[in-house]
Amino acid sequence: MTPELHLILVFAVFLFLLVVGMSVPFAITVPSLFYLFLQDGLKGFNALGLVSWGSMNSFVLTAIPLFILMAEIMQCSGLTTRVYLGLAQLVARIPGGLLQTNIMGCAIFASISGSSITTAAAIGSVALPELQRLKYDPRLSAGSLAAGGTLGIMIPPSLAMIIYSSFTETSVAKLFMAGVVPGLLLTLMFMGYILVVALLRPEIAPRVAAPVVTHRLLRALGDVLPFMALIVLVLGSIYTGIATPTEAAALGCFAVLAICKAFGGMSWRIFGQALHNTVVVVGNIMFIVLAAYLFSYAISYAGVGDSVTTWVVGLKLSQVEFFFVVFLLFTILGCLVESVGMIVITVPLLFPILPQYGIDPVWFGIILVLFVEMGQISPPIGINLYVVQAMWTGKLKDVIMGTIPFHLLMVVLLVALVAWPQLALWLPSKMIR
Amino acid sequence: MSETAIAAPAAQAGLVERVSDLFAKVSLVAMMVIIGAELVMRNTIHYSWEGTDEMSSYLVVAVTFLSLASCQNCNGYHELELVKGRLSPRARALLNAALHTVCLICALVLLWHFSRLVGKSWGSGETSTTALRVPYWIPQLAMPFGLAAFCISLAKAVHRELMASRPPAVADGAPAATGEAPR
Repeated sequence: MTPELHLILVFAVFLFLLVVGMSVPFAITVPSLFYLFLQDGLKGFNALGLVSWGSMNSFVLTAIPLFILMAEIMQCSGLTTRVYLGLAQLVARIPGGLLQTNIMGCAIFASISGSSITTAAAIGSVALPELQRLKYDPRLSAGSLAAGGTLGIMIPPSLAMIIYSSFTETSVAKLFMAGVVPGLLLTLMFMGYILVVALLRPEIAPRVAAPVVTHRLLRALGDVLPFMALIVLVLGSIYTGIATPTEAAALGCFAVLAICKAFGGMSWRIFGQALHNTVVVVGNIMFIVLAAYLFSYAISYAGVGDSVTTWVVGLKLSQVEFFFVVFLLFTILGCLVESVGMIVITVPLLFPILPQYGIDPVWFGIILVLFVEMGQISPPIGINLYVVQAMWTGKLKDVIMGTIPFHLLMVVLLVALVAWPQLALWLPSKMIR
Repeated sequence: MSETAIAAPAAQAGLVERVSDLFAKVSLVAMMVIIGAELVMRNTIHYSWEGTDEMSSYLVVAVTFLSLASCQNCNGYHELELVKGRLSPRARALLNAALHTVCLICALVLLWHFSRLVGKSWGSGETSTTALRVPYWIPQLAMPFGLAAFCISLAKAVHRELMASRPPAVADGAPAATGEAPR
C-alpha cells in the first residue's frame, strides 16, 4: 500500500472512531500512531517524546490557557449575568429586544473569551430563562444564542486563531486584527436580521412597555462600561504593539480580577473554581492540539504532504475554484468534525498549497475560522446546538431551525470575504507594530 | 447524537491525579504572574527578563499535561453520541470500556516515550541554550507525570464502565434469572 492509501485509511479510522464515540483528541491520536506504525513499525514511535515536547513548548500556545482563565473568572464571578442584564436595559427599545441583547452580549463576551462554546454557554445560561419567561419565539431565541456564540472565535481574542497560528507561524496579532471587521460585520448582520424579523413579525419579540428611567439606564451603563474598557485594554494593547497577544491575555486576567473585585464578585473560592474550570477546558483543547501535532508529524514522516500538494496543484484550479473545493470540504467536515479538530486536521495539508494560489495566510485564517463557525451550528455535531439545547426545555430541531437564517448570513459574509479580502486585511495593515 | 458539552459530575480523584491537578493550577497562576510582570516591567522601567518566554513555554507544557487527568475525571473530552446514544446502557458501558482501553494503550505508549525522553535528557545533562541553562529534564518531567495521572484516570474509567456493564445482581430471595426457585 502506498503512503497516500495509508492516509485515506487513516482518515477512515479517524471518522470511524469519532462516530463510535471516542473522545476527539484520541480519535486523532490513535490514527496518527496507527499511521506511524504502518510506515515504520514500532520504530516510527521513536521521536514521539521529542515531537510532543518540541510542539507544546511554545510561547504562542501560552495565550490559550490565559484567555480561557480570563473568561472563566468572569463567568464564575457572575459578572456575565451583570453585563447581560445591563445590556438588556440599554437595548430594550430596539426591535428584537432581548434577541438583540443575545447577539451584543455574545459579541462582547466573545471579545473576552475566545471560545464559541464558552460564549454560547455563558450568555445562554443567563438569557434562556429570561427569553422563555417573556415568551420570545423559541426558535429565534435558541438560534440567536447558538449562532451568536460562534462570534467567540471570530472576534478576537480567538483560540481558533491562536491554534491556526501555531501551525502556520502566522502572526497571532495580525490574525486577531483581521478578525475584527468580519466579526463586527457578522454581529451587525445578525442584529439587522433580528431587527427586520421583529419589525415584520412583532410577536416573536414582545416589546417592553416600561417607561425609560434615566437612573436605571445609567446603572446599566455602569454595568457594561467596565467590560468595554476591558476589551479596549486587551485589543488596544495588541493593536498598539504594547503587548503581544499572550501578554494581553495575562493583562486581561489581572484586569478582570480587578473588575470582579470592584464589583464585589471575587473571592478565593470563586478564583479556585475558575482555575478548576480552566484546567478542565485546557486539558481538552491542548490535548487536541498535541494530537494534531502528532498527526502532522505522521504526515511528514510518511512524506505524503508533498504528494497532496502536488496532486491539488496538478488539478490546475483557479483561486475561486479552489475556494469552492475548500467550501465543500469544510461544509462536509463541519458536519462531522469538532471545531478545533477541523482546523488541526486540515491545516497541515492545506497550508502548503496556499502559496500556489497566491492566498494570503492571514486572509485564509479568517476564512477558515468562518468555516469553523458554520461547522459549530451545522447538524449533526455542531457543538453550539447542543450547548444551547442542554440549557433549555425546547427541542433540538428548534435550535437547528433557528440557526438556519444565521447560517445563510455567514455564507453571505464568506462570499464577501472571498470577493473583498481587504475586509479582513485592512486593519492588520494599519497595525502600529 | 450530541457532544458532551457540559461536564458530568467529577469522578473520585486519587492522590496522583490531585497532585497533577494542583500543579496544573499552580503553573497557570505562575504563567499569569510571570507574563504580567514582564509586561509591566517592560513598559514602566524598560526592563525585560529574557527568561519570560522560556519559563512560560515550560509552564504551558506543564499545564497541558498536568490537566489531562482532571479533564478525564470531569468527562471534559468532547465525544460524539451518534452511536452511543442509540445503545442500551449495558452495550454503551461495554463500548465505553473498549474505547477507554484503546485510549489507555495509546496513553501508555506516549507515557513510555515521554519517560524515555526525560531519561535521555537526564543522562545527557542537556540544558537550555539561554542564560538560565535549565536542565531540560525538569520541565519535561511534567509530561510523564501528567500522562501517568491520566493513565490512572483512564484505568479507573475502564474499571467503572466494566462494572456498569455487568448484569444487575440478583437480590437475595428473588428468583434467579434461570427461573430456578431459591433454595
